[in-house]
Amino acid sequence: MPVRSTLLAALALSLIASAAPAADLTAGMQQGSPKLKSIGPITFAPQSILLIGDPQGSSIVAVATEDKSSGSPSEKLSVEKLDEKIAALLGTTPKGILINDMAVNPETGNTFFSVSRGTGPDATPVVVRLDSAGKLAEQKLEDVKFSRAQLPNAPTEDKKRQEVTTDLQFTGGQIIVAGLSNEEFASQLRVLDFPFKEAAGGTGVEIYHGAHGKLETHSPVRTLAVFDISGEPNVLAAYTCTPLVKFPLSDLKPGAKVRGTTIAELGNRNRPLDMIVYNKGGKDYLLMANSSRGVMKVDVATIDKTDGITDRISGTAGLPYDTIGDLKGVTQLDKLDKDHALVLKQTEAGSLNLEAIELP
Amino acid sequence: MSRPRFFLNTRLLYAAIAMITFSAIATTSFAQQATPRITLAGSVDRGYSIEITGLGAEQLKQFEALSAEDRAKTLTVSVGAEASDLPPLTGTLTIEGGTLRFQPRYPLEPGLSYRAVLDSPPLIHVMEVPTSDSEPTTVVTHIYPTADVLPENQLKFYIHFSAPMSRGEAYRHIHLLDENDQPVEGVFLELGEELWDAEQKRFTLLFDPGRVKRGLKPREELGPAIVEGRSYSLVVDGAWRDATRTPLNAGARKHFRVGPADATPIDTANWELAAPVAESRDPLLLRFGEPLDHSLLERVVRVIGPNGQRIAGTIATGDGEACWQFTPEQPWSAGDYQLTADTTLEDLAGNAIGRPFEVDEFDKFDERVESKSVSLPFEINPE
Repeated sequence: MPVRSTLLAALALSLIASAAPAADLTAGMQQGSPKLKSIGPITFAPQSILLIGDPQGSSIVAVATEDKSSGSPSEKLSVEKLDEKIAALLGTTPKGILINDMAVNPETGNTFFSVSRGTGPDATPVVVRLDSAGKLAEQKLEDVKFSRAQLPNAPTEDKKRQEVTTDLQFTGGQIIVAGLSNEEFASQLRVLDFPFKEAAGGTGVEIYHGAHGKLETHSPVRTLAVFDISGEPNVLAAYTCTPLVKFPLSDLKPGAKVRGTTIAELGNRNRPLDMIVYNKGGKDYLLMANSSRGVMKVDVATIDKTDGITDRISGTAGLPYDTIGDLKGVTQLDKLDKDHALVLKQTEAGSLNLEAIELP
Repeated sequence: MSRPRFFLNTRLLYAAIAMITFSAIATTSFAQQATPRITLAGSVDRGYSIEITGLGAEQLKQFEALSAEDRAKTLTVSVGAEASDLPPLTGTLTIEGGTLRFQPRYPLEPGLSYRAVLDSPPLIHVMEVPTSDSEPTTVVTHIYPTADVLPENQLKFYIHFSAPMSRGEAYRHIHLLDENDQPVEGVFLELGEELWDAEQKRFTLLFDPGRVKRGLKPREELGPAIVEGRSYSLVVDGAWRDATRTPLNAGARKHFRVGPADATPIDTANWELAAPVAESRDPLLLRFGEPLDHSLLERVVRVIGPNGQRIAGTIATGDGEACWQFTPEQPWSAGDYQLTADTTLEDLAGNAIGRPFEVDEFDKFDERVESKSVSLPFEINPE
């Protein structure tokens, strides 16, 4: 089962709330079928618009889901063997599907899953919706309002070069796309305006990582979240090589080269899988799922005071954090409401359980 | 003696006719009130649907009168032989010439059992979709780099297959063994997305960059992923399944030794070009002086003709990817040519043209080569 990192709409919500009266974001969309070639990460823009990464199609597709609340409170939601249930809906077993990502619609509390039905190159991209009452159904992707942004991808006749989208984040009218090439190591972070503009390839930003000893590498970002530090939106990004870095969102300008400030190292043999930002008792926290070190809770206030790691430090270094002991096997997280998160947990038997938890 | 026999035979004949007639009537009557049946219809090639036959005219009429929503409730099909709380399959239920047909939205899968429950008249039927046993035929065709000696900061491997593969299980089937055939754990970057080409015939395997880059904690604590002076084998096990879910015909193994780390950017001043003569289709030969990334060599190095147009031809690599050769589709014409390489071209350790994988100081990288490509002029002379 692939364990994809999702991102979090997190502070995007508060940014939306403070924006001018919302225009209809579906206004420029066309009616029809987006005909996805594949499906990767997903996230929500306002007005229940689902943003879908289509790595094979080298595009980001926005679909108006017309999602409505089921009326059931979702904080008690618990679905055992979710992978088996999603597979059954699609006429197969968990071996016949890949759950790529999970995103909660912040406007309805319903959860959406990016699913590949099949494991070969002709797998069918599917979006499955789980309402807050626990009912699963397929999200319609035909005869819907949609729009598409084509990402620039080096054209190859044999289509060998692919860029896998590893994360999507919507914040304040922009979509940040993290990707990883299957050829060259250096990858760009891409920023697109939403609603998409004409020839909306977005702008590419080169992200560098400064390790100790002032060594720089042009590093791909795997997963990211956006949150405010002293009133300024910042990107918190996890590289494929484990360090957690921050950089101001305003640095993501066309053609820019951005150097992230390392604020934490997560330890060896550990990959960041997913992260969300939330507020509890007036303090901001970051909750991060990792491949081998469980779920970490980080006090965001300390990020503001972190100058960055420049010295060699043994053990986990940088930000202080707590490991949430009773959250084991978490592969994906998303924020459900201000007090709750939804976690996808892999059991020891290998099946996936979905559970709403109180934010720690 | 003969009459009674005739009489007897005639009576037998009449009896036989009567029985046949009765039997025909009985058959007709049985067909009109046939028992409803659920069956699996179709074939491996055409795909399968589920049919309900033997419904009475009245039952069909009642079905036709139902709303689409209620029709869907008439028949539920779910995965598995036993009753369960799994959600039923989505699909469409139509009526064709007295037969109800459930067409699943996604194809029913060979080897799986499906349970169909008809609401009215109540009927349950479990059916298994036949499997088509296919012989394992898919193999690993190449593992790049092909060089026997790799730098300690080797960045990746490319594993090529003869047919499309399944996604979602790659890292279970890839193993790094040391010289004693003992597994070396935690050295690769495991990405849930998996890095495939569009056909899923080429897999990109990255070493964990945290074990490659200097100054990062994983490397500080555990050392580099592979160590200079030692030997390893990259092993692909035969259980990896292709896109038809059939295991590989055989596994594959690449043995290599580890040399010193390479922190030097690619320098085109070291490249040697050997140009063929005009009117021939002999290959243009380019030697780099070091092995370079196989996939990038196929994509970012090209030949530009005297009129500024890209020359069509085929690319081959050799000598452990330290050599590149280009055979044109049409014979060479005499004139001035350019060999162009994008600066994104990387060596085995991710060092690009004019830019090392790791730059010593942040300020220096702004001074690096900013151009997108470099060109080497060469001349094709008349024979």
